[in-house]
Amino acid sequence: MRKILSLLLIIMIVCCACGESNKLNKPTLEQSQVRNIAELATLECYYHNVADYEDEETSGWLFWKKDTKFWIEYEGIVRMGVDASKIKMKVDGNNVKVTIPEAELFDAKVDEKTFDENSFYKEDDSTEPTAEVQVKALEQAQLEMKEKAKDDAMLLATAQSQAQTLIEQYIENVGSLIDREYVVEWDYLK
Amino acid sequence: MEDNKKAFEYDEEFENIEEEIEFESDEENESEETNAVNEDKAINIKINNGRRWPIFFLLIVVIVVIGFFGGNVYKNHKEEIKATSDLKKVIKISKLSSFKMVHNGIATKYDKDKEPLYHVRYDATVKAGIDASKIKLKVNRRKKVIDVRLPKIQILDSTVDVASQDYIFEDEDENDSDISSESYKLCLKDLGNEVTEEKELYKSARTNAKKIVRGLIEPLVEQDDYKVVVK
Repeated sequence: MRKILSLLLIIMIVCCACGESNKLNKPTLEQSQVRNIAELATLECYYHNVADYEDEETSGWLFWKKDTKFWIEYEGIVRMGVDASKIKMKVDGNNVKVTIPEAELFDAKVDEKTFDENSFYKEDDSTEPTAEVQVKALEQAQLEMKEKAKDDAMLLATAQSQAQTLIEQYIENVGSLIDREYVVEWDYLK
Repeated sequence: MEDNKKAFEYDEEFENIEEEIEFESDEENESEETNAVNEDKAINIKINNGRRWPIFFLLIVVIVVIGFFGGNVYKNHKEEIKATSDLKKVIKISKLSSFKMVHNGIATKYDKDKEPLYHVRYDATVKAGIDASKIKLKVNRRKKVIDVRLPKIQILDSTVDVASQDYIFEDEDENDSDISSESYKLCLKDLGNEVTEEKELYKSARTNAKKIVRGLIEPLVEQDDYKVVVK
């Protein structure tokens, strides 16, 4: 009986030790994924973002409850352009027919230069905003920025137009090297 | 003298009582019952007086517990997040990203004694490629070769997904009102260190950039029997 109890005790100690070491070793849980892409980014758009967070009765009790209220202000960057892997060219003499896809949004990020301790505004009697609620507010602001950029048809059209200008310049440059004056015709992929 | 007198009075009273006991036997039982009930009440009152404080104390504890936990569990939860986003400026660029790396990392903030204060887990994307406006073209008409020189591979974009940030605090005091901006910079720094060590990223980005550029130029020069060499 004593032996069994001793064995159980040892197993428990080993399990506790393993649990503790797992917690400390968590930073090793990293992995990377890689792949080829062909994103021709033609526009970089800067957005001014404000997230307004409010939650009632987040701390205290009965008549001494406090709310959480804060704002975060920063700039976000959205990059847009065309997927170059979808660009197709058909050449016939001096005529070049280029099929180009619609412009799309590639990246949306927080501009680190505009995001620091001065980006936060908190009410005097508010509960201290935790990391969790700050991340929620930022997520919402980033989502709003992405939606705004995706819905901006004018901006996407400009990004596509800029891609066309770049490609046309290439065709012109290559043509001048081999003594050809190419005429470009556009076909829009939907 | 006075003591003797008092003792005499007590004896007299005692005799009277004894007489009452002898001649009022029925009433005696009734009065004994009444006295017993009165004694019980007195004892109960004493006991109740003794128990009042623990009950009162318990009641306060219950109110505090309900007020604290009940107040938090059944709180009037009205979380509201409003976000606004306004376009400020647009810059024309010509960046060709040819390779993408998705990175899931953990950054740690340390104090002066190199003790960890908190860990932050994050998801990030790194894109490498070239500035397409810096591609140089040359022709060798005699050899019928188009020589294409690509600029140096650059990290064109490093994006840490702010919404992916998750924390483990070793020191809870660090969980303050501007933690997310500090941790965001920490993640970018950590990501930068990881990217610098990824030699494969630059190599693969260059290989794929060559393919993309070749694919855009070759159709234009094939009919004239030119070869495209991308370096």
